[in-house]
Amino acid sequence: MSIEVRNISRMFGTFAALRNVSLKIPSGELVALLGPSGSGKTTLLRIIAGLDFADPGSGPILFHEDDVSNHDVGERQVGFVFQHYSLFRHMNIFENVAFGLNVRPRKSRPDKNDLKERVLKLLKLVQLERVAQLYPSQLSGGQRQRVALIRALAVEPKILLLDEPFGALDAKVRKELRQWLRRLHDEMSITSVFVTHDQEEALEVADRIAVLNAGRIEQEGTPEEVYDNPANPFVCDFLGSVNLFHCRVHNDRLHIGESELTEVSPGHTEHSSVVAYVRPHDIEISRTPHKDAIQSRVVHISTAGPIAKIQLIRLDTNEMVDAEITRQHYKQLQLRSGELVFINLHNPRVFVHDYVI
Amino acid sequence: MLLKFKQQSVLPGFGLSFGYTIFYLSLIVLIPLSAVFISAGRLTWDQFWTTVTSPRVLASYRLSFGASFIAAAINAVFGLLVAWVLVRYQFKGRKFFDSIIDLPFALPTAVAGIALTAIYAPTGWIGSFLEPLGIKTAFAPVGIVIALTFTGLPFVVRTVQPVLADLSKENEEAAASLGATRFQTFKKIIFPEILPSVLTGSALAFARAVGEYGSVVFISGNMPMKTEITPLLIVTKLEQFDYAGATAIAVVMLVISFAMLLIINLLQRWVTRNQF
Repeated sequence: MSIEVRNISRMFGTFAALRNVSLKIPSGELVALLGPSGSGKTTLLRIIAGLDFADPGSGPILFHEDDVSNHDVGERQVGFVFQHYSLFRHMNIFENVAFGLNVRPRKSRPDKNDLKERVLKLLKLVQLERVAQLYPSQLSGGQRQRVALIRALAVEPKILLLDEPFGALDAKVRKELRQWLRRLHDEMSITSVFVTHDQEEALEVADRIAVLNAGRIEQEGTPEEVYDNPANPFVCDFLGSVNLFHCRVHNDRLHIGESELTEVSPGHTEHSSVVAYVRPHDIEISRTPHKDAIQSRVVHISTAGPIAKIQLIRLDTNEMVDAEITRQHYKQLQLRSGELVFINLHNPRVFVHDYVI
Repeated sequence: MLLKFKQQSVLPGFGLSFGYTIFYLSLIVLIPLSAVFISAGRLTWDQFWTTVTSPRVLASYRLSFGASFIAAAINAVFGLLVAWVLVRYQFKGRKFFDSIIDLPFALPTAVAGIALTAIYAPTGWIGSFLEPLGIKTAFAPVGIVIALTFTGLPFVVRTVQPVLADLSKENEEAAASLGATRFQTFKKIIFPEILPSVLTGSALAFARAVGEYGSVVFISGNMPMKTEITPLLIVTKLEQFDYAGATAIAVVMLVISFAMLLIINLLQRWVTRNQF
């Protein structure tokens, strides 16, 4: 079932959590709402769920062309997974998962055997059938989150909404669970929206990403689109670490200090002052001088991990530059800190205005 | 076991503070209570038994514990309601009503007794309306229940209030998103969470009501066999210099009260058995 929201605004007192947000989510996709805290991503999710309501004057919320903006959460048939699991601590795991089926009106409530079968099937799906009789307090964080997920799925929702589903888990479990969520989504192909502030999580799991900032959607697209072609400095900066270079445009080329970059930058007027955003892995380190290279000094080297992280300082402006190179390349270069090297920039994203974080 | 008491801690002084706690508890609570038993021990078993099972005394137990139980039950329901309104809704004068709850704590109980009697007496504001209907409140067991409800109210409200305020809104939202109606959400999600605190509050209200004296003696009329509460009977015996008889009744009250508190605590533990 597709979801569409049009011109949604939400004020909390004088704080605008959402300003005129419109978003279309195609049926069967897994979409991430990505943004820093206070960007309005959770508010948007809660409004889609019916746990919060948009301000008067906002546009409709459409589930498969039906306007549900006046329906409350129970009528919208959404599954909602809370950040802190929100399991009912006085019920055991089985009862938690069965809750949504048990509160149905008598007519549509499955009979006892059917209910048991359905709950056990779900528990099996998340490999938790052995803890059915335990209570939430006896489970680990990852197990609790999986219970919260199948509890939401038990009522066979048309849409699954997850609020920072892995936010409270430790890094390793988080990684496992998000891959598991992706597989589960592929099997069930239920339209799902999840909120996250972790760009890595969004880039890895989602079919599409909507990047939010200060109550607005800055960009919406596939992970590749938003990562490779960020619409503005905010998106570029939020989706990963980035280095800033102030440059001039001359003959459609970027000039940084004395160096001229080979990269062309169309669309910017001559002599305009622009900012180039370059990802650390797009910075090439070499020992040979070159006319587009910037001379820098190695300040710090960190080689623990899959890549070598090199911190450099530009000799012309004394600005810090972060570079990431493969370990293999690092071994070939035999870099040492304090050494003078030359850096080349690749794939710069050029924006006219500086962005202040 | 005893030696394992001591644990490493950033704040030293366990020995001193523990010793002081024992000393203080003994001085204030345990020694006076044991004196009750020692004093009652001057009676022979037969004398003790006849004193504590005389019809007048038995009637007073029934009244004292019965009225206290009813008052605690009323407070459990309405105290929960008051706490709910004070926590869940924002309205004008909320702070004012909130502070009024403590009044029965602060007021000297005799003042409460006089005030209630004035209102519920056949000539009082409310009593004059109830009298023609044949409902006798003051100088009847109903009056005692009213007085005990009055003094017990803050116990339930003040124990339930913080628990209600701490309840996570997410649990209710989760229940609603799973299709539960409001009534189902209250019955299956909220009520089990606050039940332990309602039980604790009622137990405190009950314990207080059993021992209540000041507010009751005015409104009850103190008719033997009818509206005479056990604490009053103890005072009566003391006034007649029947010290042993008074302590015998006191021992029975002590034992029953203790047993009741124990039962309520066990009940509470059973209710919270799966929570941490």
